[in-house]
Amino acid sequence: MRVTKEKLKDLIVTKLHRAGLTEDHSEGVADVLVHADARGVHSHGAMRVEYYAERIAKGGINCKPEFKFEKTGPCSAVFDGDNGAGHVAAKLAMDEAIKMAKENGIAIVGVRRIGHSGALSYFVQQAANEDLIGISVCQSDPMVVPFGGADPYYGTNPIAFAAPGKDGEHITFDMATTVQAWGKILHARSKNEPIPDTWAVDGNGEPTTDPFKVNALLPIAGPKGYGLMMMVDVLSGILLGLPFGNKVSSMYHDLTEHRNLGQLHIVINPEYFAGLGPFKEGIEQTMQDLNNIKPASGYKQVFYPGQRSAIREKAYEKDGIEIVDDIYEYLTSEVVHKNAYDNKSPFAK
Amino acid sequence: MRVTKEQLKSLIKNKLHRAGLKEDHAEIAADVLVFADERGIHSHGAMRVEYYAERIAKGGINTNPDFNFKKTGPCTAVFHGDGGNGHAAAKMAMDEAINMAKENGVAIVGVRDISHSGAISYFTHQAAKENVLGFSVCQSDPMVVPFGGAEPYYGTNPIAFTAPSNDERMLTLDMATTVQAWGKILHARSKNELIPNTWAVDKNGEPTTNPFEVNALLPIAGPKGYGLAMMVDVLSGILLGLPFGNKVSSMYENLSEYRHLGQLHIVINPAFFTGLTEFKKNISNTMEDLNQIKSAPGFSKVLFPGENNDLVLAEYKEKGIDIVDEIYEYLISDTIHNNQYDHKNPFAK
Repeated sequence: MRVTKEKLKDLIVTKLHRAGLTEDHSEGVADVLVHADARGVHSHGAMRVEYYAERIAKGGINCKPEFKFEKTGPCSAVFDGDNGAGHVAAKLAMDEAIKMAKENGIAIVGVRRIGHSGALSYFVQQAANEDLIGISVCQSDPMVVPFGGADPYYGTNPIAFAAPGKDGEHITFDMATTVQAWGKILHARSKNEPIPDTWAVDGNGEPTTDPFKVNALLPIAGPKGYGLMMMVDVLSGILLGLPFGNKVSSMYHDLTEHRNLGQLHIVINPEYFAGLGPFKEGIEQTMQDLNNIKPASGYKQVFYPGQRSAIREKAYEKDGIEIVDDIYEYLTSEVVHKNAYDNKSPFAK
Repeated sequence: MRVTKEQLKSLIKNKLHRAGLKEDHAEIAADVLVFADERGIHSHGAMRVEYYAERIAKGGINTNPDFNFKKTGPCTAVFHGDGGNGHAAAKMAMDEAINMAKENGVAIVGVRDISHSGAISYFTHQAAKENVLGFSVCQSDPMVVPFGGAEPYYGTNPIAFTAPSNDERMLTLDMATTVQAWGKILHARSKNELIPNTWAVDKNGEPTTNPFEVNALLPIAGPKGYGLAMMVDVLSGILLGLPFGNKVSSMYENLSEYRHLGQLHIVINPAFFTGLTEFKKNISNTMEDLNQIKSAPGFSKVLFPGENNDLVLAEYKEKGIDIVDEIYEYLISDTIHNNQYDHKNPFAK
């Protein structure tokens, strides 16, 4: 099903508002979800709406949060989300971080006590749109084994980064610290297909090709991904006095409870370093350089990080965003939720 | 050959001083190299001395640099290295960053125009010893293909992060963004052994198991390591107005020229967020939690990030640091260098 950006946003706003969110929080959330779908990152788009709606309806997201923003120094602050919609809190926090970085060169803003906030690329692009470098990291449900472990400890703990180029063309990078997303395992289950032995482990911590035996995901590059997710948990959890490691709440465990998740934004103003002009030229040059690198066998072209999403975004603008039919039907229906997401282990569907 | 920390430091300092470095710069460089050796990170220890000595002797490191630290805001600064010794510049820049973060909550300090600075966890440890979080990234010689590319563009571009706990132990991440180090390829060549097909590619960008066909290294986890390497190059190269991407100088190309490398330190003061006591307590909890995770087959225990190095540190404290005999012989000899590192392509030995 192909839809325009505007239509998709409308449908999402309506559904979330009907579930219980205020209209402008619904808009805030919809904006972040559509950003993802519009770039082809469907895992963080409209497919999340039904789960959010169920959580909102059951009280697991605060529909009337008291947001509090407290500066702690010239370049640091904490935004307390009062367990409201993560997307809205993280966006407002990034707005503040941008202001501080424009004024004082850099800003590090912790976002405490929020629900799931969507694809982090949204927030770092906010910064890039204002000629600043944006970095964002956040916690997520414990699903990943530490290197050499058989039980999960950390979440997929993503890292996102964006740098402004010339003419609004940014370099954007957004990655989970796991080899593969949980969604891909579910997909393999639904098709009864084996998975590569690099994605996940069984109950003994052994890599498995059987999607039904999966007990936890694997970090990228062994100890490296493990170290990266540790860093994310320290920066967006421990640094903000929030539950950390395997004490982070699980998405589907109890939809009546608040998530208490953490996120951290870092914004850097190039004017306080090399200067904005030279910086943007360097980014533009990087993009050209990378596009000119001889491609490897089986590849037509080398893309700079984020370029393929930008290409997809332009294609969708022309042809409409592709949305799975079931999701479209749910969105256009009157149903708020079907009680499908509660009291489940993190690894159920 | 087993040596004590003090002996090793003394030998290295003397050699570098004889090669031409000022005594205090030689002292710092020795400190950084021994930090690596005493943790078993031999790739960044004494084995680097002869190359440094050759470079110093040929004028490729400024032995009388005009180091200049310039604040650009309450939390930002640039340390100008003037082509001087990287270890010394990066250490002094970190000292300044720590002061700024103690005073103002966070600090981002760019280190411009330096030579190779060693294992960057040295600098992040500096921060953690002062009860602040340390993060550092730096450029390196272009040796790594972008995802889907057949030619190198980025360097191994490492990332380091350290957080203090309730005792003297720290959580540390120090990783290159490549799957494997170039040194391991050289080792395979010397033994005429095959390498796994996940380490490197040939001239066509195809993964190869033949170490003699290697033309470039592979980033970790495909597009993820590529994005991380890009982020490092932007933060420590473009942000500081330095040569970036494949314009970064090569280590062995011309030892009479300055490297013009860049590095970036980010320091975060937990006192401006959740509070130091709470923070350190939870880092210690993280360490305990991770040690308690059930281990996978083949692993007797799950270690927290950086703990493996602590174990080596403890063993070496007892038995002496294990140094390759040839390196020891070079260190105790009168030879400054054997003219073996100049005018080589990055992939030679």
